[in-house]
Amino acid sequence: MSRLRAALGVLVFAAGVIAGVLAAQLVNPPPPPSPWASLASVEEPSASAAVASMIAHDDAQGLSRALDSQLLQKLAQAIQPLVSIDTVEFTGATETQGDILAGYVAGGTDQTGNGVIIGVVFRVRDGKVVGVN
Amino acid sequence: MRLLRAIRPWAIVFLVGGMLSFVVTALGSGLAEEKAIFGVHESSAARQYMISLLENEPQSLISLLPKTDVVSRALQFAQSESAAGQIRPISLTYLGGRTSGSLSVFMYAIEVRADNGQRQFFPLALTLSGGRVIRRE
Repeated sequence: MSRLRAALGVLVFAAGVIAGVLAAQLVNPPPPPSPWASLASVEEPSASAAVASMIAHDDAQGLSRALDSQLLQKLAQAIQPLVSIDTVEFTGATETQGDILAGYVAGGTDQTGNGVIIGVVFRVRDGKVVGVN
Repeated sequence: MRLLRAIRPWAIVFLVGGMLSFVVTALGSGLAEEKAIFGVHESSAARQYMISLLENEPQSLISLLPKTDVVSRALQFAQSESAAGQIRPISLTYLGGRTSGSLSVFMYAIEVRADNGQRQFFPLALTLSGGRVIRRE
């Protein structure tokens, strides 16, 4: 009798666990379906990877050689309000008609010392970074 | 009454199991998102914002922005009205994102065809806090 009670207890507990997981999923619903197609992802382009590495390593001289002044200005706008960058992580890239868009998240601190993350997307064409957003 | 008394211990066991797994799932998925262990899943608010933006739905857009004054909301409606029918979305691709504390960043690649037939391919990075879009680049 006590074995049966114990087994039943485990079963009821397991049912509760499943119900809890389902409830947690309901609280955090999946995104609504997109009405449009999604492009295939591609590997991280080496040109944007090099720029991201220079940003992460605080290599201002390297950046000045890798990007022209117009792109540098766009990059300066894109990384605001970060004043100190600790990490730059590649998140994903996609391509259409020779244009690759590569996404990165930069993390660091703003002027007041608060932790901030921002998204930067590089446009790569013919193996070169030609745009920054 | 006797039935209630008989069910009570089982109901408590069920509730304990449920609450435990709810908390563990919520904390575990939050931690996994922050550390990007399995990549960062696209948030429903970010996707809804993108759909509303491309389908030109100002009401839905406003609901995903931080609370603003009536004039800013009127501007949003006016912008949507003037942009109506100017673009035809072709594709929407999620480029990934990251979560850090209360901030989440989600990036997208958008392909549209403009009124004049020209194809445009551009990115958009959204920063969300508390389920609202606080920055769009």
